[in-house]
Amino acid sequence: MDDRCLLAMSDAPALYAARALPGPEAEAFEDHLIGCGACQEAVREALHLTAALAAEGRRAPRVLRWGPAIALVAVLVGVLAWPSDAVRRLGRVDAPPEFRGLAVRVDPDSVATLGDRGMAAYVRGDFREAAELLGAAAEDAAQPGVRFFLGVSLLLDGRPGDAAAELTLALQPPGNPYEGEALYYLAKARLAQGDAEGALGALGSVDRLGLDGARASALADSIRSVLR
Amino acid sequence: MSSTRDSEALPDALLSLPHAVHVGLEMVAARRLDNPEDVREAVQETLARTVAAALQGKIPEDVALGAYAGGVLRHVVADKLRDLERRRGNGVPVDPDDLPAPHPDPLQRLVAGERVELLRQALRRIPSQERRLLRRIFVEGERVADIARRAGEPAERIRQRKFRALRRLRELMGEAGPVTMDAHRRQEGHDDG
Repeated sequence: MDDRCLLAMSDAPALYAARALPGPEAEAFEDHLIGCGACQEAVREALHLTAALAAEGRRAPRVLRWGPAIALVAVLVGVLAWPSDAVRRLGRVDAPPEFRGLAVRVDPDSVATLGDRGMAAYVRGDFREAAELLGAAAEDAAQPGVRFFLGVSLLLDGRPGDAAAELTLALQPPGNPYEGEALYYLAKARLAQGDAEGALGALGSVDRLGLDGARASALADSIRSVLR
Repeated sequence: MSSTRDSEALPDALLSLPHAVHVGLEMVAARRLDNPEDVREAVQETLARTVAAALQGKIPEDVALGAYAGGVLRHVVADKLRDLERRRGNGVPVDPDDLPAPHPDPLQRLVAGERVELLRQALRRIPSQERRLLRRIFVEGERVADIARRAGEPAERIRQRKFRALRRLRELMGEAGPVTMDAHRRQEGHDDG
């Protein structure tokens, strides 16, 4: 292990930690990183700095269902500034998927269930509250639809990691009516995390299943053009 | 095959770097895989294949061990991701353990919360310009050379500001600095001298 490694003192560890190194450069750095303790330490330190700086620069979420631990907040907000800009831009959701459910009552005084209240929050664009309420609803009734809108709400609230987990759960059981859209927004969540390969994997499944293929193909093309 | 014979046959590089290679592989795998168990399996599989290749003399002399192991790891990870997607695509029930854990970024598992909080407190005590510079480098992923070009200043000056900010953080945290910062300090000392 070379603790005087010049690469450890270069931009590379910070860019790698920020997922800002272009693909071939990232792979070349990884090949070196695997055997270099100094660069491993530099990347680890960069990860800490990235998380601390991102946490310092953003307001913590008002409500976190998973607990108020500051470290977790730091990690959650840290990821918002994580991926390279080009990939992250592709993960942006410009308009939330439309909810056509008949059971939604948009008058907040008339809603009775967690799911309904969550969808009411979703319809009025309060995705943080929607995520909170739908998360509670999912604990009792983990239907694909609840998982799907919970995942999208988390994504729109800037929590792509949690969104990916919920959207993955929304794929079950296979053949459910939300499967295609869940895969599409799972790809969006992966992109927001800077994981272009994971996004392409999810979009590939959309294609194989013949679900919403045109939109998935267009997004896949955009990812490939960014990666080129 | 006995472990003694394995050890005798292993190339020196592999014997001298087992910990670094293991840690490095784990770091790279964590960047691509969600599930910690998948990370562990991918690293073990990669180490096994790399050792087997070394024993069979299949690692070309002009290929660094890290590069070889990195290539193996990327294949192992790709296979694992394809397998998961295939199982989903074919309607095969996915084991809940295979599903991603609810965390924001796999690589962030390597970050210790306490240290982040200490750094966060220290960051509040350094000048805002230094904090801004560190943010541009470590969060926004800008290269020092690009920052310098946009500011119309020499890259070396920006680099020195970065080193100074890192050194100040280290001093505020009152601890032995990480390798990078120590290395920076040595370099600065060398430069100054």
